[in-house]
Amino acid sequence: MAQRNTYFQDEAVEKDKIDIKNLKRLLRYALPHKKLLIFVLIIMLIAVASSMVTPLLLKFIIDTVIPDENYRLYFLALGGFLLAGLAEIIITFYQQRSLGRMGHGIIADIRKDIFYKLQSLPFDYFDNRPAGKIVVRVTNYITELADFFTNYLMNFILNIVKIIVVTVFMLCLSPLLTAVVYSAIIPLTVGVFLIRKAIRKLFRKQRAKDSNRTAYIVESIMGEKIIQNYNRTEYNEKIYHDLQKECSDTWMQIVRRNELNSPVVGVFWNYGTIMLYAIAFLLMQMGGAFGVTTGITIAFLSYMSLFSTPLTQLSAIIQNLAQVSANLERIFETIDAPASIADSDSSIELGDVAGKIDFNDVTFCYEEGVNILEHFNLHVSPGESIALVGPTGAGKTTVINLLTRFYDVKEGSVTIDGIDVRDIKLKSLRSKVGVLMQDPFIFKGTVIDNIRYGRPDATDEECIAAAKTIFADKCIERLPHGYYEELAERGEGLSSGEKQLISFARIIVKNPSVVILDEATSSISSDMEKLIQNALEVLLKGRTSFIVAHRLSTIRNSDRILFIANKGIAEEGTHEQLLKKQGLYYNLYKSLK
Amino acid sequence: MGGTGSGKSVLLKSLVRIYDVTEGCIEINGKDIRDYDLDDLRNEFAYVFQDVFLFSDTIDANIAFYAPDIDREIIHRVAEQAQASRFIKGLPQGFRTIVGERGLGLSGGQKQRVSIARALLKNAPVLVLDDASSALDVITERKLMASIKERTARSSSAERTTN
Repeated sequence: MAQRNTYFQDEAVEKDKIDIKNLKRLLRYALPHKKLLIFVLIIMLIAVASSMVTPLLLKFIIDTVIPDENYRLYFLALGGFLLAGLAEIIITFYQQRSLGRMGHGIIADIRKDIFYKLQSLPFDYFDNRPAGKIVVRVTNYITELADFFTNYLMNFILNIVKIIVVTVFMLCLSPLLTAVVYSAIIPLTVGVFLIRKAIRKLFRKQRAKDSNRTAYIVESIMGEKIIQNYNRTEYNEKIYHDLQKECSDTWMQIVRRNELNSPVVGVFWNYGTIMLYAIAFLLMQMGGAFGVTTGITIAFLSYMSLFSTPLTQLSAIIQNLAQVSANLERIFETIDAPASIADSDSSIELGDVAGKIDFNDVTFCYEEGVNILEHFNLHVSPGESIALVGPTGAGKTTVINLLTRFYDVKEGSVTIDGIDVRDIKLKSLRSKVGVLMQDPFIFKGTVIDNIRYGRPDATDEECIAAAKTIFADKCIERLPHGYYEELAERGEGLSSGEKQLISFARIIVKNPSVVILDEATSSISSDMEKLIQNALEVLLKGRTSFIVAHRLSTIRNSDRILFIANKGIAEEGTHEQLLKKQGLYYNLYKSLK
Repeated sequence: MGGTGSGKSVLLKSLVRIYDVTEGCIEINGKDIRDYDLDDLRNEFAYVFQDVFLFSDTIDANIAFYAPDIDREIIHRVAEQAQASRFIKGLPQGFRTIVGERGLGLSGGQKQRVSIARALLKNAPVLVLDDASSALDVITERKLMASIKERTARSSSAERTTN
């Protein structure tokens, strides 16, 4: 599966069968709204009943009232019409309102499900898909489902009921004429279904093209600085134009197929009406054979017109079903994606953690075939500080990714205090291990809010105290609004040193037993560096730590240095021991000075 | 050079008018940069940003971002100069490997080298490196700088920020 997906590659959706299962699943979202559904169903049935009665009133007027010239009855019948009309208006109002409410309630639930799922999916789900393609599932696709519930679903049920009831009434009046009507209805239905089949495939294609285009837009926004600076605007416009054209072309194909609906319905419909007139007239000429009267004929024409709305609506509904099922496939694909890194039933909570860490014969790769670590062994005592050095891409960041279960090992195991990390509840594991990433992510919010990310229940005072511990207070107080300065998404406008300080404070507030520091850069000024060095000492005291280090001072102060290269540990020891070896570390050290 | 937050990045970004100055002006060859055609101005600079962004595309396409139809030879050459050649060739699909958005799948240093190669390919008179080698180990960085110096000895200038 895991094939990287870009904006010019259509996503392949695995299942190609009919989506009854998906629709059933969708309907399950409607279950919490059972009462509302039943209410709507009842009032709709009342509406159906009243509309069935109207043609009978007509028949009654034509066959009985007018010949008898019974004007009292005539006005009574008219009163009946009025009542029926009123009932329909009131019912439609309540029906639309209830369905609207229900529809939006349902899509809110689906959105929640997909968002929550996204929070728990492992990194490689996101590695393999552009963000735009995921976003479009949460926004566009689900919004279209709302339409399905408010306008289409109930009408679907209702129309089927109407058709059945009308048929029953018609059969009671005249089986022969019913047969005539059906001789038109059946081919019409078949035609509509065939068109629908053709459209469904196209809808799938259109969804794919649409999400390609969205992926491209999102990426262009994110890389906007590069696009402008490398003068790619024109070229990219052409690419967008092509993507857009693919979308519109597919859409036009759908429209053209769809347009066939009206002629198909129209042809058979007119045929049916003409046949009805012709045969009814013939029968009446024969002196009312088969019990066909004028009244019955008019009633039949009325009933036939009662067919027309359900049938045209049905083809629209089926069309919408095609669209809905294409959407559902994508939405459920995300909701069903295996959260391969998740708690199992036997996962445990960690108590107090001493901080003994072991990597036991670990092999790992991000992509099949390219092992980053092979038969990697490492045993760390509680409170030990480990510095990881070595060339980029050798596996230093990988080592710490495995410890926090951002990724799982392919072979071997990683243990904390002897417990395999896979057997520990994720929340518990991650509360005991503090991570400072290479590229600290600053969220939109105040400085204090960002510091609070370390521990959501921390008070303002605790956050400020944390900042003071790492001597970040002077920097922060220099900002226009100090601790309450609003920071932009991704920390735009902050220097990399300032971002690091904030992420540092997060760790202090979190107070974990194990600290992982992926030293971002050497791009902090020397006075800043001294400050951080002191704070680091305080932070690391009594905690096991892993530092992917770039700065000489950090490396030298560690209890043990690991030179990671060639899929494992190339050299290991204290600073002095490694210097004596005059090997890889020695060369690195020389060039750092 | 300068302390954290002193304004080095902002200064460089103003050169290519990502920000416009609020007072005073920046001149090139005696003319205010705001009076130059924006595209022409940007053509003079090859900017490597501090936070690396790679597009959802092959490594080839990312490096050749400025000139998508350029000779593959040139792509390989700048990759070599950026010290990226070796690791790229080590990937199963080499230069044709697709890197997801934000260049996922590559380590921080690898992404940086690809973005440096991208800048080198542009071959602009001025190369701007905004803390662009921060994730590189010192040996690689040395080699990179040597390679860039060699290039620029032949052309005009390179600027970089560092702490």
